[in-house]
Amino acid sequence: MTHQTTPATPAAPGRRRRAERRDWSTWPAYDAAASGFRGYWYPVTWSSHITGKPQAFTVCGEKVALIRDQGTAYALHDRCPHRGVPLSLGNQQFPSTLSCPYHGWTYNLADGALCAVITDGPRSPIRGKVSVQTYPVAERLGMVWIYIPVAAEEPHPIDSQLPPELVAHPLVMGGRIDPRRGNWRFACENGFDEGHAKYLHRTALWRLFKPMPAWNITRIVQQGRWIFRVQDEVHWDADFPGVGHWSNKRWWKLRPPKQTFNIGNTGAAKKINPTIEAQRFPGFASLSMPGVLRIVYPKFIHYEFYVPVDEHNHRYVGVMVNFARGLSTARFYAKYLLAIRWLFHGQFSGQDAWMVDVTDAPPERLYRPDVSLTAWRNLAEQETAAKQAGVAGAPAGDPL
Amino acid sequence: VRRVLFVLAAVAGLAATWAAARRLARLSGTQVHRINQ
Repeated sequence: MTHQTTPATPAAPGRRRRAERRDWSTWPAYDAAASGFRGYWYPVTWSSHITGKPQAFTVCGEKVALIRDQGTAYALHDRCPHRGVPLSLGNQQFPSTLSCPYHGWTYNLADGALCAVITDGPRSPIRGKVSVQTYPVAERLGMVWIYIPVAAEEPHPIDSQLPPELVAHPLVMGGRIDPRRGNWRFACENGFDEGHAKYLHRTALWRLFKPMPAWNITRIVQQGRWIFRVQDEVHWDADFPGVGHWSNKRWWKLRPPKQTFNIGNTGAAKKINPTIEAQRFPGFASLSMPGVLRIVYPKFIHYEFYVPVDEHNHRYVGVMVNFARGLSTARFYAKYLLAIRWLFHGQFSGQDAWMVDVTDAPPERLYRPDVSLTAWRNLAEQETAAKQAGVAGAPAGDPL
Repeated sequence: VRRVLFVLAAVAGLAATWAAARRLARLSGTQVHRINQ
């Protein structure tokens, strides 16, 4: 990945951008991705939840059975080709295999090949003629990830898709995986939405002592596979002509900083964690395909992975990361489990879940801060086009 | 003796709170991990 900073690419030339357009036809690939973008790794569940008992998951509309055998996690299409019964209802009758609960069709976990049919004897003629699809599996950040292929291609290395700072540095993390209603795109757009946090979250307990700005002037900057929201102006008060004064400042809240900041959404702290500072993020909110949000604060980074389940549901994976070692690790555990999980990954995030559930677009009428949404949709189009063209940079590396 | 009992009770209380928080968090899909260390 390069670290060249460029303004986010506008829509491709020739693409019609009439002001009155309110559907998503400007972004055809994005519009068609109601069940998610294929060709990416997605986090599914915590590693410790996958055992020798198979479990069913749906990712990008695909039904997947996950099982662990001799320490390794495997993913198979959750449907026996015989009669369509979910393999996740079956169990292991032989090592390194999974047997369908109905007639004992038994599949190799590694390649999905039908290796035995218990109810048809050792010389069953169908053996070796049938197989179920398998999916590449990886374990990172304490979670099981599976790769949903476009066709039958080899997956790119998962580390090339993860935020680079999570691959290269020792860290401690707390996370929450939560099935939620609403399309994954609404969740993703909500996360990167410039305008929503200041207003929707103004009542969150997580922000009890810190005011949120009233409005900002923001631009979008692209750096490699990521787009960043860069705040040029932050306004804590506003006088609306003929309506009145509005501010989220309160007597019990800390005073907002006088200078414009681009780390955290309530103002920069005096000390910034050196690992975070070394990343030189141009803005505190950034987003990459296939729906990975990064919110940078002075002493921690919050990530959200929006995992498509189907058109109407997604899986929210919220991860709070602290680049700490030693005793600080225990301090973070306590802080996360006693406070952050309930305030930030709880009530605060619940406000987002509420909005994602009730969002109903298109049609839509966008406003100035929605440059964050259109930049994200442009990024999705850009990376999809690059992948389809077989450009090596998607998603494994360089700017598209 | 009272002081020792008080300290022991305080430690036990903290441990119980910690265990309860962790149990509650796990039940609600939450985990904590050390990564790359």
